[in-house]
Amino acid sequence: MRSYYDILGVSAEATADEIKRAYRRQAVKVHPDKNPGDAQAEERFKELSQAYEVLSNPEQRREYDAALHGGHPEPDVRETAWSVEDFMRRYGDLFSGDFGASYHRRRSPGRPGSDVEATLRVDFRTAALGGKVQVAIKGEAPCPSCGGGGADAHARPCSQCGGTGRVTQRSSEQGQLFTVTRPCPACGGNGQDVASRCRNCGGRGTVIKEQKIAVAVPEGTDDGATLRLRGLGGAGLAGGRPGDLIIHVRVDPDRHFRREGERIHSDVRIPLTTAVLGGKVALRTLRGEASLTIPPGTSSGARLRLKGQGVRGGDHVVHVHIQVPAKLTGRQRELYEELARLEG
Amino acid sequence: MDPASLAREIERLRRKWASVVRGEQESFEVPVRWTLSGAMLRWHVAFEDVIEPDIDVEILPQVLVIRGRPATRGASIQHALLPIPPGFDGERPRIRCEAGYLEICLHRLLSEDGA
Repeated sequence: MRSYYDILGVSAEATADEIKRAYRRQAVKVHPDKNPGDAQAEERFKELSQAYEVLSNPEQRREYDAALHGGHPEPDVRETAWSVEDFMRRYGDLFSGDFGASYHRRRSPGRPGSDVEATLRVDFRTAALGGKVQVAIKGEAPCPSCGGGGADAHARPCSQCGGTGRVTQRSSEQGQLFTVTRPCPACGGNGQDVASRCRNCGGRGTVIKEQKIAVAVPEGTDDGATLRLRGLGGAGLAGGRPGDLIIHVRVDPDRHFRREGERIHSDVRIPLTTAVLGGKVALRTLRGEASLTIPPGTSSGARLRLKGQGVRGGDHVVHVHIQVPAKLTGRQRELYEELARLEG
Repeated sequence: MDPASLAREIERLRRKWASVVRGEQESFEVPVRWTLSGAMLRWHVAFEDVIEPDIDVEILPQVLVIRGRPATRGASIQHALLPIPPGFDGERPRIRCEAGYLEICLHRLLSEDGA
């Protein structure tokens, strides 16, 4: 009779890890899921599993080794109540990943929708102060007729994939063992029998629809910023979660304002007399009109600061430019000439 | 498609289909790289401590999702998202696995006139 070591193809000195690997390597080839109706494969699987059950348990392995060397009678594991199902319940974690379906069971049902990207042009003021901007997005939305399930009222699961929408097979290329899962060729991946597909969406579960979305642009949004709106992307298939809407923000330049982080810069032109004598000028700020006090003796290029009038509590910096009159009236000329004489 | 446009397209598809792997629980994305030679796009995925039977290749529209379960008990599942750029055949990838190193080749689809 072959020893359990022979069955697994390992030496009697094999480590627990070597035993596990050897078992997995061989068991995936003869697993009942992969060989439905093949009695020989099932028998081989049971044989491998029994060997593994004993050798993977240090205590049982000690007893087995002792029996093998004539110390004790060989434990008859075959007499214990045992089935493929029992074994999978006990050692199922070993197969996670070996068979495509085990991965898929852990994931949410259906296929998640794709993320949809869009570019949103936002005016300078909205980007700085925040606000809502309407955007029209053309993308996949759940079919109103079937509710996203892709099937009509008398839905039947696809006979080839059993409704999972996927078929999983061991790769047959070059004798390699990894699993390849692909959309079911019979139903195209939606899991429904062709004849019972929703007529409105053809079984996809989604339709192309233009949606208008009010995007909340946060205060202080920079040019090039990305906003992610969860669940507003492409609809998922067969109950899968929707993707996200990813919005790339482009901020339009403004003819009055420039931005530098949380600071806002703007220019103001003042008459020469206001620069010399001081006074007040009207100024455009992000939040509306304001009155700016010009101190007497302000030079061209001076910077005046409006505290807290920038973005998120930053300042508004006003660059002063003195406007020299290009043309003078006769009286103005007289006065300037008099001023010049006084200055010597 | 020249390599620069291909790189842009791959990045676009990665962003578009990031949702596919976003919900992966207890897993992390492994770095991948690609090379373009002639009519073939080759993806290279280096899995750490993953043996061949524990690799799962899922073919989805526009992307391949690769998952690997490391042999070490308790280690996180490793995954990779490989875009299938337009013009390449994602239905019939050629997959080769050697000691935890996975190479996936996608052939360029030929038009009817063979171009």
